[in-house]
Amino acid sequence: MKEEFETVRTLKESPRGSVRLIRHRTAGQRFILRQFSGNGEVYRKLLNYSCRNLPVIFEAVSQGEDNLVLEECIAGDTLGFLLEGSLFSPNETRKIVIQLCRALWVLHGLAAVHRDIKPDNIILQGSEAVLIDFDAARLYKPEAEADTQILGTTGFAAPEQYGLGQSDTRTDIYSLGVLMNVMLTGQHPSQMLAEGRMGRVIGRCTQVNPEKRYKDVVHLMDAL
Amino acid sequence: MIKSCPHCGASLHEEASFCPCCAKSVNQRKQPHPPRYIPGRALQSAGVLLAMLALVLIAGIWLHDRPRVYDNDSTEAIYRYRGVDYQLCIAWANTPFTPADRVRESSAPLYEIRRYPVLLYINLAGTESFAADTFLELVESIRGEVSKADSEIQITCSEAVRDTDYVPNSAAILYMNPMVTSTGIHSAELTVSIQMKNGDVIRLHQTQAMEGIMTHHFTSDDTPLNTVSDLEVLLARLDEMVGPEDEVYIHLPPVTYTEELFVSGWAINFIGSTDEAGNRTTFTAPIHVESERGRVFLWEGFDLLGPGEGTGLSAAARVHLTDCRIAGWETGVLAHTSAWLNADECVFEDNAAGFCFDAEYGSPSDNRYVNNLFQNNGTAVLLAQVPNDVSLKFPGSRFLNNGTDIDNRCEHQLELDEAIFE
Repeated sequence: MKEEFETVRTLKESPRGSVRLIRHRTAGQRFILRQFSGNGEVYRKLLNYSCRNLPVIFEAVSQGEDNLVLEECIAGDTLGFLLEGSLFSPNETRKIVIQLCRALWVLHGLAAVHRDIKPDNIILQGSEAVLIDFDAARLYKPEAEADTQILGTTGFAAPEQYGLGQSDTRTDIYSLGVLMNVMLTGQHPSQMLAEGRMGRVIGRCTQVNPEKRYKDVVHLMDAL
Repeated sequence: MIKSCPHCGASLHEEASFCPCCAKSVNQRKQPHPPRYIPGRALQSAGVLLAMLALVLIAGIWLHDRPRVYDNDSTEAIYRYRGVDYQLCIAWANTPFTPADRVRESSAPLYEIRRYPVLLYINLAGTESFAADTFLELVESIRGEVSKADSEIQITCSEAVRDTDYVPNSAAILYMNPMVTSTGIHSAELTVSIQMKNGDVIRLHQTQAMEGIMTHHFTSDDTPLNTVSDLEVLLARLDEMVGPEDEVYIHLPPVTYTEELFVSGWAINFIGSTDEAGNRTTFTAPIHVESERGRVFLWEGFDLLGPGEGTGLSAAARVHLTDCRIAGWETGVLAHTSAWLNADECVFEDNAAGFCFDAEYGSPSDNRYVNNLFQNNGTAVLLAQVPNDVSLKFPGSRFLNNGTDIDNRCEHQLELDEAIFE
């Protein structure tokens, strides 16, 4: 790796790890190199899948708690950046969230939960939304009673991520609901709920009781 | 074990998914696509589908148009509207997200009409967010109705009003006016009906249980009341003479009490007097009052005159002063610890500080200070700590020739538009 690649710049550095933009010296192609401590199982599972709404995971290796992941560099603006300028229309929101549902369909099919869906983890590449950053993702184990770690981003995280139960795929549906509301109104649903049909969909996504949310992303896509 | 890159032939680890030499993927990938959601295999039959669609349409219209009643015989109901769950509840002002008890207990003297508010809150269910402003746009009417009253209680319920100045964030207030005619506990059922514009009805219930209590009057005709010692003897004997919830009025003669007086526990109402010669009930030594009970001490018609130092009235209780003159103290009246103090028609004069609030907690009995005169005080009103957010009003109260009229150190909310500053 050191021979074939060079670091362009460090995008993020924290006690948990780093994210670097690197470049293949001869091909010139850019990649994202993630180093982090924790569970890299979701990345390893994604090696065998491709979906236009997820970055391609080219390589994922682990040694104990240390993980090294090489993934596709997605060019585009984050949703967080775009939301600083303006809100999204219901049609735009619907289109983007359906694409995110496609990404989550793959993740959830691997028994994985993203657990950190927020505007900064979504990149708009042309007409496609790409869901990135699976550092907080974990595999869903039905027998576990409660999450052992509190991960995720305040405001977008579902109640069960604060120790009220175990995260499952409906945790991501909660965050999608919050995301939709932020895209439409700029605010958390508890402050101002979007109007109309989208508001009803968001209301169901953000039910405190996971049992009352959409059962899975297919049902959410159908509602959208 | 090693393998070769199918693109450039470089040697790779057997489990490699990527070739670092040519920067290409070397593994097989699946491309899963989410299925289209189809609710049930029965729908595969077009005939069945059409029949079911028709049924669903009819049922949908019927269900949509059918007014629903939400009533689970409690002080709380959850109402869903457009996917949002709203909590409607009867609650106390200090715990607006927690439904009040199904039975509300209170007490009142016999044959005396009382008035107290029942508060309706509308919140976003599962959150601590108020939602009355948006929800009330969907509401046709809110009505309170009393039923099942037993024969010893007469009780009415006012029309629902919205007064967020009085109770911030509440959706509606219903004033109950009960009168009990015998001792013991008597009850009636309050039903609050929220009629929605779409025809739905939400009902909340709370039993209003009221204990009828006796009222005892002590006058100087039947009880020695001429000195503080006399008063202390009477206060010490009250345990034997009256019930724990009874109301006690002590009618004070127009004499001057020169000893310090301590009152605790009982909500004793002191009523002063003035004789034909102009002599008026007067205290010239401090009065201390404390009570952990919620009842209000009603004190009226006396003077509290100090030597230029000390505190005239120290209260850790709910006290309501009417027609009293408090003069010549370092602090005229002090509400401290757990107190709420009101004053109507009173004169505060020649004190370093006339009226001082420095209470950590205490439940307001009234937020108005009506027709008082504050004159020649160093500071007329000193607000160091007021134990509630309710705004204080001074309708008709005059502030005249004070060093400082109001020293609002705790920046409490005040409404002074009806106060008179001269």
